[in-house]
Amino acid sequence: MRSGEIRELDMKIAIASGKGGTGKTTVAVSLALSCDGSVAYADCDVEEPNGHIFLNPCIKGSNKFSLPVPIIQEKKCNFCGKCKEICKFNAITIFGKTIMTFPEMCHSCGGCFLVCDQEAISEDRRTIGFVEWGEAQPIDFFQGRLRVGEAMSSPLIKQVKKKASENEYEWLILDAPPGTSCPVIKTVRDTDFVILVTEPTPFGLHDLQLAVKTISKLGLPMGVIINKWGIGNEEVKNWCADQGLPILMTIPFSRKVAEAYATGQSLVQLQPELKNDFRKLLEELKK
Amino acid sequence: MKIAVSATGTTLDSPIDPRFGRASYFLVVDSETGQLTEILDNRSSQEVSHGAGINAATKVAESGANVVLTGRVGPKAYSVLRAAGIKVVSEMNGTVQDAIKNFQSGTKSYSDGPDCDAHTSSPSPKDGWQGGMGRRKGCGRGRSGN
Repeated sequence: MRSGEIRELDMKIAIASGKGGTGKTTVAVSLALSCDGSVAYADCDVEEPNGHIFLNPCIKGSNKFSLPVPIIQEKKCNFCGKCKEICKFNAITIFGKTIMTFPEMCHSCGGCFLVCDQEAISEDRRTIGFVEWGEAQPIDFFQGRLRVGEAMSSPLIKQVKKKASENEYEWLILDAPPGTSCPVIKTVRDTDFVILVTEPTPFGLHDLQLAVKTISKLGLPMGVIINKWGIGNEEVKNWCADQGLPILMTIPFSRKVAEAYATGQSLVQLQPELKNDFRKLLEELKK
Repeated sequence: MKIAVSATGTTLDSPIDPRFGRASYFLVVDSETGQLTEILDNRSSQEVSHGAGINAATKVAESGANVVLTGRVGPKAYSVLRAAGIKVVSEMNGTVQDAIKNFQSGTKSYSDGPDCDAHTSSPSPKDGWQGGMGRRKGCGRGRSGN
């Protein structure tokens, strides 16, 4: 990881999970709404950002984000095959005297530009998405939006983090995508703490275990929030105790919360008394 | 004419591999003699996460095949096959030999577009085997017949 992706801030907290639909955004939004001091919320789930639904930000600006992809000038190409060979993502193929590129497969590593000694490859730009920013008083809001059909979310996430770090905040809340793959790693890198949101079900436990493995490899401190407490069983709690993983909070399952969620209301809007709990949690993390 | 058939094994009585991009093998058969002339090993495709179809189509193109018999072809593989001038007959089943017989009997027609979206093993909605259905990429109108 290149350093300097995010400048020194007071506290950067990533909200992640193995399993989808456990309540990452619910927790991230609630934390942002409960913070004392300056706060920014960045939605790094660029494939389907949904924090905006709960925060209702006024979007003030948007930047197109593009990546370099190869364009081949067939007249100059001698079909040597070096570019095809170096491309690990099959974005270039050659057979006989035909060369084809698949920009949607390209990871923009630049390898093909380097190995071509015929100067047959020039740079095209492919727009993969947008970085947007705005305000949801008192929260500064950032999000990435990947274009439908694009697969390269990590570079866009990096861009969202960069934009969010242009100013300094006491709290930067990063809402991660679900899973344990590159986009998650891109989001949680360089943060001070990772909150893993899970649910007390076998699926929740299974995917939490994967997430804990990933975050441990990155050497980041982490804690668990169990959402929808009351459904499922005790196994998540037991496992966390075995591993010595702190359970930061349990949020009881409630149909009311789900109903509010479905109308775009945040958890702390419905239950303002929880703000105190979230605030306390944040203060604990700071220590 | 050279016919490439996606197969799960290396002999003519092997079942067809319904996936084009991630097929285990392609058996290249001379249509005049019915002889197996080349076996293309494509098993490595099952380990890559992206671009299996592009790779498989390139292998088939390099073999000099004129026709591909397979189950389903995705959009990127299809575009490579088209660029290579290779005709595609999809929705084949049975053994490799069955498929070749079936093809030579003239009852199957060539595909005019990919059979499924990228990264899926389920076919996109199709109306059947009448020719000239366009690229089946239109919205709605998934009716049969007429």
